[in-house]
Amino acid sequence: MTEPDEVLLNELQAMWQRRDPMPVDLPDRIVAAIAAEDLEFELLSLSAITETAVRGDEAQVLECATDELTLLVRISDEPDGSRRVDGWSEGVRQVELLTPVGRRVADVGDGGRFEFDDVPRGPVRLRLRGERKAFQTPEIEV
Amino acid sequence: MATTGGTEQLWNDATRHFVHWRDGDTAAMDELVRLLTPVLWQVARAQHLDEETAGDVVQSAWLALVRNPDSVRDPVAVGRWLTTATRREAWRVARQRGRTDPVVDEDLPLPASRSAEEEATTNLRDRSLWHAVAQLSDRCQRLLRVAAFLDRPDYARLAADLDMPVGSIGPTRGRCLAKLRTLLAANGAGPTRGANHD
Repeated sequence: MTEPDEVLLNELQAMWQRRDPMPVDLPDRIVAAIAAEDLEFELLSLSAITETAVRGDEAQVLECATDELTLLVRISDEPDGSRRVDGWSEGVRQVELLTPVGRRVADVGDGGRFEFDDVPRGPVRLRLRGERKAFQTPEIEV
Repeated sequence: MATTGGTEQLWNDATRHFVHWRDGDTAAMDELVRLLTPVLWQVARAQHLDEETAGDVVQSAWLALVRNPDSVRDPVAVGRWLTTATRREAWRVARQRGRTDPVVDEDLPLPASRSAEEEATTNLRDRSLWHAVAQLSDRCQRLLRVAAFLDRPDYARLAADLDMPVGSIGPTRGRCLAKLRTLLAANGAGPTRGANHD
């Protein structure tokens, strides 16, 4: 960018900011809309159906069933010592894994399958998006 | 709000907030919204949308981000992702409605009152710029408004949205600015603010 162009563009920017400023309440409106989006998650209650030790592996299986969705989650060890989360669901198209170090998203495959490998140990939550509604699990220790 | 020179800092801050939010700090999203919404507003208004529609368009872009954060593969690109999402949505809405009345032809809104001489000078210069911009082609108006707020606009995407070849964005911007200078000179406005007025 040549110097004069930059000067003129800066002038234009300042002019537009003064003459056509964003409505002052717009960020608040958006923050509120995002917060409402988060509230729309219905909290699920999960129950453990089994906890087994097979050849030293420890797998935990949790389930949940409501009118709108069924969910089965299996948490197990990877050969390298990290954890994996496998799931089977109905009424869900996308699953989000919230961990202390970030979130990951998995699409739900045929038969309602989804999986997250290489999950660090610690508390996680799952967010599940159905066609009309979204759900969230309580924290699960993996 | 950043000046063009401070845009890099703006994008760096945006990336930092976004990473914190992805790591589970929900308050970081509020920071990100407050940081980037003023820029996204300008991007939406560049499509000549009315205020309410422009606000809705910006909000849609934010909700799209929150609903699918993984569509931003590299956090460094979050600012670009949002501006592109806003520009596309604004473009889509504008097309759907048919081109609405150009915002630029409206009477100048009165700025929040500051004081005296400085304001008079600023008003005068803004008025000259506003009216000169209004005489540019629609394409020039949109291109300059986006260019004024984004230091390094993503030329490939911008080209697609403006229906222009990628290689012509830079030269077109140069021609639009040259045309603007000619109009300013013809209207008796000086080349830059800070020039002597008597």
